[in-house]
Amino acid sequence: MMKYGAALAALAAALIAGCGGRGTADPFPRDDEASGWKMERQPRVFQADNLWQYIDGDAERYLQVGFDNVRNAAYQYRGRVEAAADVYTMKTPRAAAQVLDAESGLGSQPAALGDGGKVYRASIVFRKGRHLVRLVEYQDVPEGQKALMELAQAIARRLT
Amino acid sequence: MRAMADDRRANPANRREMLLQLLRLGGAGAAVGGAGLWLAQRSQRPEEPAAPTVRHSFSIPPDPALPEMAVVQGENHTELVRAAVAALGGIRRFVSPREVVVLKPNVAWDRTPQQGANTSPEVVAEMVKLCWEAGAAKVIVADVSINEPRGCFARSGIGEAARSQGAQVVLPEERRFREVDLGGEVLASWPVFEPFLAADKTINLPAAKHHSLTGASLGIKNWYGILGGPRHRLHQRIHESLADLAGFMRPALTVLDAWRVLLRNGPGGGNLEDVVLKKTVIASTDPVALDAWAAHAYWNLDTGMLPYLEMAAARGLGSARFEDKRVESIQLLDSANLRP
Repeated sequence: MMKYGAALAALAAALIAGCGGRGTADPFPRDDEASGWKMERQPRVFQADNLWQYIDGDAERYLQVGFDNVRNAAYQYRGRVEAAADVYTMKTPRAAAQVLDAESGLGSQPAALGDGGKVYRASIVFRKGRHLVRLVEYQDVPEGQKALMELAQAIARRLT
Repeated sequence: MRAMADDRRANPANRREMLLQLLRLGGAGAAVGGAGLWLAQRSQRPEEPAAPTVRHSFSIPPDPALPEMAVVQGENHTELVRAAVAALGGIRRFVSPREVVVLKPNVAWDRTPQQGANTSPEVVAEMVKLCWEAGAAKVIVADVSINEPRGCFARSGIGEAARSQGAQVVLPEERRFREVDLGGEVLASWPVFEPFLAADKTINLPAAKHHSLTGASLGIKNWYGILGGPRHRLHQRIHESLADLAGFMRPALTVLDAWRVLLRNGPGGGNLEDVVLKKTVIASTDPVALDAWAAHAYWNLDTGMLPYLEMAAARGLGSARFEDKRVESIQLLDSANLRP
């Protein structure tokens, strides 16, 4: 009986750990899955009804085209660079594309990530399927852009 | 029925007993009813007092000898603030000795100063210094951040900038909000961050940045950051609510930080390429005119694209026609270049 209980608890823990949001696998790489990056705290999830608590004033453009949830994680790269990773899961791939296309890409380069995106000096935004991923670095350091790209690639690999 | 009558006839003792039982029950019922009524009267809650209507006007009387707006450009961030305030008559025109002054920078986002989503920490620090010079009793720096407040005040550098100059930083904990009637068309009863209700003076220190809903986020939009509650609902009628806010909170002075301007992808930003260095500070006693000036200067938005400006002007809160204002433009020389 104890054995079954432990197995059930382990299964539940795995499910919780594996599901940062509704119906999608955990998109966030764990320690050293993206070289040098470590997650600083457990990801947070915001749904349509509380998205404003995360991005008040900016939420409407996601909600208007069809938003499901956003997961946010904080990362640190070798103790020198901090970054925020947001994975917006939209209702459809088209909705993800609409948000990305509506953003000005002035000063950016095209990103070979997922279904396309934009690379800036200290930030990256790309989409894959119905996911829109936004990575922002807080320190503008020489090795930052390359490191951020590695984190973006690791997230892209995890997204289905 | 018949069976009951037969029983009564058959046993008079039972009948007497039944009457007594009924009397007992009636007595008990009456007692319970009476007690209930008494308790109901005693426990009647006093009516919730209506939220007090409060309007905060710290507006300074106009002085025809002085400009109504100062646009200062230069190489030294703190000198810009000082020069802008000086051009409007100096800090003592806006802050009197022993006053509690609450400064309202934009500390909404967990972003660095370089990302341009918040007010620059240098502007906040310099304004705190100026308030002390005017003899303020206390200087408070406060904002209702969108992202986690502690992170916003740390990452933006504003927490450190304020504290280093002796200001008190007040974070938006839930217990620090008070429900007041803002007396607006859209904004009625709403929780307001207490420091702004208790202030002797407020000074608005917004950042100039793009906003996906309104086109630009400037001085009047910055007052969203004194509200608690589900303020996202206000975005449904954003221009009306902005005009309401302009009527509710009329600062002594607005100092717009346009050192860096987030030109695109606001209000949260994040891309350094969206930020342009303008090295400008604009101060004004007319918050409507200041917003109109900056919207035109940085996004080429006229008042027709920002209806809240005309609404606020129609309510007598300022003028959307900045062209009619007395504007002083100042170009500061780089003090470093003046050294021998």
